[in-house]
Amino acid sequence: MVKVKAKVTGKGTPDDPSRVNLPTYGMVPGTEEYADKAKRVLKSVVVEIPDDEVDEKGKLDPEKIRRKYRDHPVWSKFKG
Amino acid sequence: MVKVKSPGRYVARPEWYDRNPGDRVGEYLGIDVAPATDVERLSYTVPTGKKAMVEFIQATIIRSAAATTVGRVYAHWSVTPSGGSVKVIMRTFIIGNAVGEKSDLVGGATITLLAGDALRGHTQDWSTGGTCHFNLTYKITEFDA
Repeated sequence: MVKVKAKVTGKGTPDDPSRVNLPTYGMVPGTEEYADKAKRVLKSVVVEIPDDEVDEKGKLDPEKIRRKYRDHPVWSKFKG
Repeated sequence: MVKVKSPGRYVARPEWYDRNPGDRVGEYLGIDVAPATDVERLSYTVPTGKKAMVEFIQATIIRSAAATTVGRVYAHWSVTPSGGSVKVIMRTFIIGNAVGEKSDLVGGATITLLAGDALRGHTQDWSTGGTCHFNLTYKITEFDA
């Protein structure tokens, strides 16, 4: 697993949870950054992602994700 | 007279756990987590050409500091079929405000996920003030479809 910093999307509701726009990840506790702490709106977080979804420099590789999930309606069009 | 037939060209397909298996383990252990809305802490999506056997999922909540105004605290697991809508498959919650208030659920499961399906672990704390510990864990064996 490789750690990368990722933007958090979503409104934090059950229908639209705060999340990272990646197919497979695990948030690293304590790395959350808030856009508005009072309103509990997350801005970014460090996540662990699989080794086969990053390039040789350890950066997210959208092409590898598109290939790995090539039949998926969303991830096959992933742009990073 | 006994006829002996050739076994032919068909061979039994290996069991799922012998088809190029790989362990996939995820854990979120949040200590003294302040109240937050619905946050997707863990996500696992089955790659194309694979299937996945979810062998173990766990969700634990322990209140570690009392809230000013207590609200429900949830931890849950959901499954989203490829191209489908999300469904919660396991949910645990606490509503008390005492430190040490706890809820723990473990699933020793045989849930098969198909390519593109996603397993996701969430936390929610609708209190004001206070903190909770959260633990979400999964163990999956991924194998050739």
